[in-house]
Amino acid sequence: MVLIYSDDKDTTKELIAKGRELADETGSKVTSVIIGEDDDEVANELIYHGSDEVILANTDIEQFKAEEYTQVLKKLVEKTDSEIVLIGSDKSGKEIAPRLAAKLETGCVTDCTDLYFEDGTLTAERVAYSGNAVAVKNFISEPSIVTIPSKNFDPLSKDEGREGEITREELEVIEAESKIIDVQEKESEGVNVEDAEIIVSCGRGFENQEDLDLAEDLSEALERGTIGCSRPIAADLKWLPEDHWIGLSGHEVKPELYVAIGISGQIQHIAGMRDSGTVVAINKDEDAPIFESADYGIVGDLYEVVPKLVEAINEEKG
Amino acid sequence: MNIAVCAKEVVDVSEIKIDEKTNKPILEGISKEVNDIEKSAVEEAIKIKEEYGGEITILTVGSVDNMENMKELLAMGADEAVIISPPEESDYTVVSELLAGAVEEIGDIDLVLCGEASIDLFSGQVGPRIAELLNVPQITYAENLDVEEEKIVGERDVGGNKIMTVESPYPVVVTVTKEINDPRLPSLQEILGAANKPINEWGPKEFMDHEIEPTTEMKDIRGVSMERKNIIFDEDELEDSVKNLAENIAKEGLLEG
Amino acid sequence: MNFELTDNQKMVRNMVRDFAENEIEPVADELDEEREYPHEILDKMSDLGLLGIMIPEEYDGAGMDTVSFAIVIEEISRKCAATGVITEVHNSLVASPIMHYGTEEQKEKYLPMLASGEKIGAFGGTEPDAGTNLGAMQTTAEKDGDKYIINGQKTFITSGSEAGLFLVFAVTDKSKGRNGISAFIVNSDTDGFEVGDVFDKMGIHANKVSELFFEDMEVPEENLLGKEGEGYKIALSALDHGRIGIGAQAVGIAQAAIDESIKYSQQREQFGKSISNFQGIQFKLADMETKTEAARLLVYNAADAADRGERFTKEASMAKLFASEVANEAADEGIQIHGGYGYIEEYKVEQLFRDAKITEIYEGTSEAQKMVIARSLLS
Repeated sequence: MVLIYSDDKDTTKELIAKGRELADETGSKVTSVIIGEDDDEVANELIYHGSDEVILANTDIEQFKAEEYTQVLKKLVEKTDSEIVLIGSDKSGKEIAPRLAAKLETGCVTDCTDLYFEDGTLTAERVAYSGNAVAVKNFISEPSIVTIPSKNFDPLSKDEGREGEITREELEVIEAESKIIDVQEKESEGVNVEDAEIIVSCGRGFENQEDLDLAEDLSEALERGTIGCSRPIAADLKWLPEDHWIGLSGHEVKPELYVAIGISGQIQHIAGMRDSGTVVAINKDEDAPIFESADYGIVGDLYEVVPKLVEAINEEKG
Repeated sequence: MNIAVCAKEVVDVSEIKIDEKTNKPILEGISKEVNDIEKSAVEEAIKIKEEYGGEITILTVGSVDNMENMKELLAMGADEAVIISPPEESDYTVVSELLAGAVEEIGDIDLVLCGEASIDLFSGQVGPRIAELLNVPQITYAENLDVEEEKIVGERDVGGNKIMTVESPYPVVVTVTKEINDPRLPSLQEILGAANKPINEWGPKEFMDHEIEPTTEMKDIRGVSMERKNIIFDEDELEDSVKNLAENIAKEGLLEG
Repeated sequence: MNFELTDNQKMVRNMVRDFAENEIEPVADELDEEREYPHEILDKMSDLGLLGIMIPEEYDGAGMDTVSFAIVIEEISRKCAATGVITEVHNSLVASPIMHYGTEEQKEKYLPMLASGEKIGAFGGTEPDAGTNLGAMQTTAEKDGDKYIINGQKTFITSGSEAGLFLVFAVTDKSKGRNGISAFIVNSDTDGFEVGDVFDKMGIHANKVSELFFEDMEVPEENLLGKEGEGYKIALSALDHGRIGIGAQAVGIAQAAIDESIKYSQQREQFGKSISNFQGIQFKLADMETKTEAARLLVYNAADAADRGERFTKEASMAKLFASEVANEAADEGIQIHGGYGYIEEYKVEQLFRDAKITEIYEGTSEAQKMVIARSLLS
């Protein structure tokens, strides 16, 4: 059995697709778990996307806590006798999976980018050394717990002809000693850099918040542009909300074109944009490491370069 | 308040190059350091100690190539370090078991601090695993900690643009992000003072009551070469450089959409 | 024989390197351009113990060895040679003589204020007509009851317009020649103490180098360092330590030239590949690296001799002589590797070239070092 859980429904569907593939190879089944949402329609949606079974887990849990969700998943893994557990690799998934693995005394691979059987052994690939390498890991334990980032696998197309079983489980958990006091939305502009096709990204080279308009101008000239930024702009200066932040601790992006303006190129930033199609860097420091990760670069004062680049782009567009 | 901080020496990932023949990352000859995230965990521990007193123990699993890296954490303000040698075959299960075992062996630990992940492999498994093994709450991705006598309150970046405030009694495992603080540099006096602080080396048999077996194995590690064109336009006139750039962007079809 | 730094020394290197990269490098160009004294950096350095490197812990210093001192000066100079020499003079030319020749009262009074950076130290030795030849000193100190009256002038004084505590050398007994020179600890707020011109120099711009004038400057007798007539001996012993520091500064400049040249040569493309692929460039880099490492070892050798309590006058002179020549050569080659860009102010090597020259001059010219070395061979 392959057990699927993510608190994001789109990710769940993507995991189901991967789970389906693995289950078909071993003649096993795919079971998806929904925690705290007793809704047949939601369950059917997962079945239409390839899940053989959906468990609607009802508990007393009011809010997400890793300590409690881990207990739920452990019970369901044991009940379904699952050999493989696929969990969405968002922040909550990544704090449940290792805890669940410890509870089950088993192996776990987080942020898996590919998953397959080789010689009958489940093999997981993940990025290592800030994107410089791919680690290939074999599971030598069961169940095998894997977290998978969103948009890594394509979901199966929806087929309302698919049939599956919906079961309900009442589960008791031992209440965690930790307490959630508050959940606050960070200031946000609802920007989604992860889906952006072109990103114009701003770094510490900008001297004032107002000057970010220069990047905005370029973004407009490039038409499909979205504004991104490096850590100092979002985390330290707070000139832009964190939904613009690109990097290991921010968002990981892969646009067709990434323009880094006044960004030095710390490894944490590079790790967030290294999968971009074409990378352009503008920086006045010719030694800035960003140039090593760029296809095209101009060494110069962004205040001179960017306006001229906007003109040149507009000319190029005719 | 007694604190254990899990911190280790890792290769400087920005120095890693790929061997063109074997397509493997070259890890030999690369400088090793304790990465910033784990230094932030140490820094946070020192701040707590400054207010509440207690002992800070650094726990590290694996060989230490450069002892000065461990001593630096002591110079910053930790009290002692324990270096645990793992069995030959190791993975996160083994490492976490050893760390949790060491926390129990030391005893009377109120707070275990870890980085959200280690910069080399960025798996983020150790914190939650230790929490489970010790059967205590976990506060992951903490960007701010407010420590009181009876409880700790953490602000967590839970993604989706949300900040969750969580409180927990002790003992508890907390993983921190780099944003939580800027780790201090030790002064010369503190560097000298660190020489007298103990660094103990433990073998697993000395404190573990059971055998631990790895649950995964590294089958292969292959380099990802991200060759970029690295073309710098530096014509005499900035106009010409910019024009070249715009033409190249157009040539790659990026202006159509 | 052991060529490995101790863990402590490695930690010092890591710490200072980290500090220099994060706190000095971002402002170094501006300090150079604006000819601005690095007050803020010195403040931060005092928190890390870098203004009392060798001062014993009982006087609030770090009590580190001379090798650590050399490491500190090298790493700071690698990012800003001017801050390097200010730190060097403060630690080795002012704090060290007070440590070695000061009375208990003097040590208790002055060492903590140096270690904390409350006062930056400066060395008032050179005069318009007494450079290498300190014996030609004109400044006089006349005993008058329980004080000395000092008259005269000094020149080329590092930190002259900024320092708070000066070691001033003056003639107390003209008939005894160099054995008639004495050393005094002088606060800059003493009546009769005046700062003259601050020079516009070729390099090390962030260091304010000035003239000093003393007009009937009254210095209490308890500020006499050592005994009357011991000034020359004190100056020479201070300069022995200082030369290790200038050697280290020169190694830092040479290392910076290597750093810049590696980066540039890997980035700059000519004929379709980066210039680091060309043997002409590679040979230059290899020479720079080899000579810099040799210079570093000479500096460590002199510092280690000092730490072992051995005589190290010749060793310090050799280190300073060789390292300063290597710094100039490396900066020169660095510019050559950069081609035309190396001649442009925006590129760091241009500054290194200007900064390197003085290392062959101050705290004893290369020629003076050769005299010292030869004398030790022939005596």
